[in-house]
Amino acid sequence: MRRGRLIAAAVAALALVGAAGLAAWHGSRTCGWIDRALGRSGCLGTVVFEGVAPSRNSIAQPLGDGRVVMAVEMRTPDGWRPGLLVFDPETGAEGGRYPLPLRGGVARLFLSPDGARLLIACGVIRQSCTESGGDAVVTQRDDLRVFADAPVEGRSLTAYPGTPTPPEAYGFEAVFAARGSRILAGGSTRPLVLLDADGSRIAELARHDMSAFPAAVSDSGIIARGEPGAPERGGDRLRFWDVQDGAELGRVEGSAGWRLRAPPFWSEDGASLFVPRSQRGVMLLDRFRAP
Amino acid sequence: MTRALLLVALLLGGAGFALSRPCGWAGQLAGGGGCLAAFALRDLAVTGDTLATDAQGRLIVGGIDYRPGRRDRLQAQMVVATLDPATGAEIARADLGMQGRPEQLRLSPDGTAMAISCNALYTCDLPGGSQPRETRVMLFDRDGERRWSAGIAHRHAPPDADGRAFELGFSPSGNVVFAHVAFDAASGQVILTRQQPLPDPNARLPAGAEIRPGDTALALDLPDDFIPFLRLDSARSPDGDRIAILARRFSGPGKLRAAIRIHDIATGRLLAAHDIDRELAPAILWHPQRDAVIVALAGKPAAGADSELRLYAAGAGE
Repeated sequence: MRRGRLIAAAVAALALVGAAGLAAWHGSRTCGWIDRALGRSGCLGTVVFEGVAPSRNSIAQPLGDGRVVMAVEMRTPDGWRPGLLVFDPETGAEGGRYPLPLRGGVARLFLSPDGARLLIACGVIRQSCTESGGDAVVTQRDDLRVFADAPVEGRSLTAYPGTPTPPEAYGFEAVFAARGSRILAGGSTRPLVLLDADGSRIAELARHDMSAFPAAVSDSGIIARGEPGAPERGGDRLRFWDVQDGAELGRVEGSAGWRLRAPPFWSEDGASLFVPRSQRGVMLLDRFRAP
Repeated sequence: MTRALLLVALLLGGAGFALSRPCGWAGQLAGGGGCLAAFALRDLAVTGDTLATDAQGRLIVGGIDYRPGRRDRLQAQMVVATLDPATGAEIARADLGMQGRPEQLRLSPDGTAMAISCNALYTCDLPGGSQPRETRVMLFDRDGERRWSAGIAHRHAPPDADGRAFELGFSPSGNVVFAHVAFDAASGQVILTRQQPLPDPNARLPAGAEIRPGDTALALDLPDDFIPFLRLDSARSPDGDRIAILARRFSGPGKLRAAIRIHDIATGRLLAAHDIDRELAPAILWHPQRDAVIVALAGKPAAGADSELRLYAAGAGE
């Protein structure tokens, strides 16, 4: 009898130790509870969106009121369909999921400079994605239910049509940053370089990497990029640079299995970086403190 | 004693669940929620506008029988079931011998043939491999034997975001199938004809604040956070005086998943409103004998997935 109790106690203790070990291992991963408590990676928390699958094209567009809109695939009664997700990235509160009049795939979004219109364009490779066979539709920021076809010249858009973009010589990925005083060029097929407005090179920030995500520049002047980490770590990493001189400000090395699914984006005040990930039909949005 | 008490508690709990669940016995008896009946669909998930009535007034339901395939993959076998409209009992089932996602099902006027088109974005498999640049349309007899199969190129009939490339229909004589072009129903050859398709009582309408099925605008009066699919499904009553509109929530959280609104077309008067907390398939059909409409619960893509047809009162005395 006593021996049986001892065995039961030993089994219970083993189970407890195992559970504690598992919880500790889980918590110590990037954005786990131990990681957050110790402030190791700078992760502040994670919000979850059920039935949402972002892709590499899912670049969040700020709507100017703290919320953002992303083009993603969504779980619907009919299966996964392309749609627009409006949400507050800090709280995870959803502002609506809207169907897109597109024939599959995830589109790219561009907000007009006055913030009134949202252009939704096909991917660079995929073409004729709209119901009428066009390459883009436009909708109103305040009512994402009404769409009209929008003609676009070329599918390699990097900004809303009509807004200034760097000369073609800098490549299709080049964008203006720091209110037009800098050009951020390359990233996937060419090295990621920082140039001044005249095109003089300030710094080479990173080697070219087809797996890297487009860099995001905050209003406070920090460049962030998500890219694959060292193969032995098995996770992705974040890198940060100063937009003025290209100095590296910090890195976050993700733990094994921590993989980005869509490009990171900044909060409107530049205090937080949001990193979309994906896990079995759920989008996880990790929030990091700016370095 | 303890076991007896447990058994009683279990039985009471089960009965309470059966009574209280949507379209449960209590709800049906009291007419609560407007759900009049529920018919179980075994091994059949409805995936499109594939509910119809044959010349004998029986219900025809097209969909997918999901079966386990190799390496955890599913086989989406296309099937058509014939049901007794009074009891929902299955009378017959035809295996169409193809995999895919039926998007529209239409019966010939004499009820001897079934035209089925596939979702253009989730195309039907063919023995020689799928042809994703085409939308497939097939004609079967009622036993599920395929008479012919054809493809309509996307460049000729581009599919919409829901995967529909054309409206499928028969001519009044039944010897022509309309699927963007006209097909001879006997041979499957494209023909030139002066015939027109039969008017379809089931039409899709663009979602918006107002719906205009006729001269009168109808307001669906849905909550602000209810964002439907781009198109609504509808069914006209056999006398043509009423229209039932089905709006389904596109995605995301919210208790209300679908809504049925039934209006008098001439006056726009709302005759019945049903708010539904389950996901529905994009299909609605007027019941052949009762003053009710039929909808189908959306089935999950899983081996052996079942579904359910539900009858909702049309608001004229049921």
